[in-house]
Amino acid sequence: MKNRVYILGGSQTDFERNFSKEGKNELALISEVIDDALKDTRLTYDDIISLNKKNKIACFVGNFLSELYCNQGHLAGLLTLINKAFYGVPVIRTEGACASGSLAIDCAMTKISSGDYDVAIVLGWEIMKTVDSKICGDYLGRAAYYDLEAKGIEFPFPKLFGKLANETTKKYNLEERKYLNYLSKISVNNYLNAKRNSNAQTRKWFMNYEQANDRGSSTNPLVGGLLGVSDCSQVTDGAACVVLCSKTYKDAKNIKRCPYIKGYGLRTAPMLFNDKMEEARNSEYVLPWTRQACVDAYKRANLSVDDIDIFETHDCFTSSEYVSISAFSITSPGKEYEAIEDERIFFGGSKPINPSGGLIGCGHPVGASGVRMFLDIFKQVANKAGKYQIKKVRNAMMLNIGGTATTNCVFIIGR
Amino acid sequence: MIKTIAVLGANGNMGSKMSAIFACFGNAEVYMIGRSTVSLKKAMIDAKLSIRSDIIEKHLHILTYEDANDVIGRSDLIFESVAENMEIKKDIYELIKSSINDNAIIATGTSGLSINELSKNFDNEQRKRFLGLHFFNPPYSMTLCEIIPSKYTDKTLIKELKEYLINVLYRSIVISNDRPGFIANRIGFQFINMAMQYAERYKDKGGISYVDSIIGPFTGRNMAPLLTADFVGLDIHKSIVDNIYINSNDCFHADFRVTNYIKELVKSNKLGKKSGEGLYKSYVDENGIKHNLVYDINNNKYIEKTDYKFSFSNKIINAVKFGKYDMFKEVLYEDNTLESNICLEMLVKYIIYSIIIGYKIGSKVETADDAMASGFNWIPPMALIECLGGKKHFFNEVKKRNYTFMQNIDIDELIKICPEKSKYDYRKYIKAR
Repeated sequence: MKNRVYILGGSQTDFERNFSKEGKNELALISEVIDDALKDTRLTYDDIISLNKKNKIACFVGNFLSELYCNQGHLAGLLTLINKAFYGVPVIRTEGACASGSLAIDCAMTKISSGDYDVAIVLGWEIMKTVDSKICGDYLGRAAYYDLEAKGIEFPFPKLFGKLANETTKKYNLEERKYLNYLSKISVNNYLNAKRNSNAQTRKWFMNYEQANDRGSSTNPLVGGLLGVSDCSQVTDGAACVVLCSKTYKDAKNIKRCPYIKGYGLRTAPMLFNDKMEEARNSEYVLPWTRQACVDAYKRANLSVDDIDIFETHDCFTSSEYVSISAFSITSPGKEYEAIEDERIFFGGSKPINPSGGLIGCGHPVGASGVRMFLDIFKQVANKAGKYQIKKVRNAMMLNIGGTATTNCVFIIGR
Repeated sequence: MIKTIAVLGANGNMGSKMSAIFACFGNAEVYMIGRSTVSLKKAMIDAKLSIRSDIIEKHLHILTYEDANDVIGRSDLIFESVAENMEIKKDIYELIKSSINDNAIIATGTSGLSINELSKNFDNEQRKRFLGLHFFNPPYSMTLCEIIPSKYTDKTLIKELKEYLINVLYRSIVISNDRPGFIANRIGFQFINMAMQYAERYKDKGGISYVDSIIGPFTGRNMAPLLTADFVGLDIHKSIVDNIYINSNDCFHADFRVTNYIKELVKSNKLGKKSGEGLYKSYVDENGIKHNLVYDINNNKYIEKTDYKFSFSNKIINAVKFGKYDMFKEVLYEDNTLESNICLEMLVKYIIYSIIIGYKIGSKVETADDAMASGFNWIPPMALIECLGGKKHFFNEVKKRNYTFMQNIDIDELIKICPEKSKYDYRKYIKAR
């Protein structure tokens, strides 16, 4: 990276909320999260106006499907309805399915690093509870290749990630029962972690190992192949916002010990799930491009897994968290279960994954998730994670995927 | 370690739902004890549904009082959740006394009876291990637990239970003095009963649905207060409010006087949701069309329900929909119509009474916030102050208005004890409907 990109702070909404039930629309969601992020970073609307006079501030908005969920497109323009301070501010909207938020961060980072802007407000949001779960599942099918992989299929994504589970057991010759037990432990870890997070969607919900392992029952029905409801993230309304800045801005404000982006990786895998698996035959990894995005980030940061103290991963399903364990290099490929058996990835372990609760525990407003993860690894590095703070974090890493791990985004933050 | 729990009165609503909470979060073996196996079997199904888990069935065991001695003797915690009647409880306590071990904790889930009075049923040693644990319905989403020690309750026991409730059962806890209604019901039922009184006062303007429209979800709740009363049950409402009225005497005492029309409805068994009619009623006609009716106080009959739209509430709702929460205070302070004034007055009373109750019955004012957020899911009173412009602005507005109910209240003392900020965010409570 040409110039360092610093992170000032940010905010997320309470993922337990249902904006439709509250009678509120996307403007309420966005204005709340931006107000909170500005407060957190001590940036005012007047600051935005004066930075914009010099053309030194821009906004980046990640969102997947507001055109369907909210009947609203042109999300860049939407910000001007929040506050007149956004009149004239450059805004870019990014879309990469569930990785939409990370793409917004990538753009913002690039524009700060290049020296074009001093401050970037990055927003990720999704309102999903405007429709029932079947329609919602169909909408989300657009993150795959709709015509072949989703059209006319009920809940296409659980089925696709169920296939990922099958591919994983096949590739590594895992005993199905044992593998499912590991997935149950992943689920329980995320639910337990969410109990420490006051913004988590499932913080009041019950889940334990017995319940997670009770797949096929009326309260944990199968949703895709081997996977049960306990293996899935939920439908969520929510937004997250982070503010990035240049060294110039940081120094002018005299901000000390500011975390910064150390590395990133961005890779696009074949769109079709079957093509992915076909290509992966020659790889040790089930998702080679996901792995490559992690390798790229490590290389750019000049760090290895030994240097990373916490991870946030994309557990849209337990099967995706499982394969991310080796993608991060926490174990070698095929040995992911070791990190579950020795509890390394649980809260209190040496390589904790998702202390926030992740997508399963904290929630998954798809367009917001990348920014929410980024905010959470920032909080860990800045020692601002409250009850879910991991001790002595120097570097933290996140993986956010879109579709069936088609768009793969990785960031490493450190201080 | 609490590993075995006996729930007495497990066939009741709270008994069954708390059995589920003990079994799932508490990972305990729970013995659901009641009068008949038929009702207990039904209670077991309710328990499973209430926490959406099949596996807990393995940890729930049903048995009748005749067979309960041995189980009570083995239990670490005995949770009594039988009917709110001193005589019935006395009988149950005899059974407990004769069966329990020396280390067992005895808790009552009463919402109305005095813990100190109930503790008299036990001998000196057992008394130390007796206290009130008041949970809220449904406990899966309402996480409040009021801990009410008697004057004899062992201090270490309270500390241990507090940790168990917070860390194991994931409850939000407040410690309450043994006063009528404790904290949450004292504040919540003052508000609901006040709404009933307003409905009586304004019966010519529309009564029940008129008041519910004035103090609807946009004022910081999921459901308007009189509709809530139908869900609670008017008989239960009456018994809670009567109890507070008889056994307390504070500056808001008159607000606990049960209105005549509520007495009439209870007498004619129109108790709300559970009996099909109460303050509201709905039916589907032969053409499949649903009709919503409301009780007309003037004529003692049900009439078509009117959804009142007021300019003041429309202004608030239309602004909040887009996240413009400032409109809430602007309209309430400045609209100055009959309806906006009623709304503001009710909210002011809610805040003032919460400060007083939090301070006097809870350990500090903030307990009122915890109680109302996690026991009723209503906007916490201190968060409401922030929504109304912050502490300074709010109290200035109250002073300006010279409310008669403030005559015997030392407002400067309230300002002194009122916290500057709430830990709760008001925005999620203020609905755009």
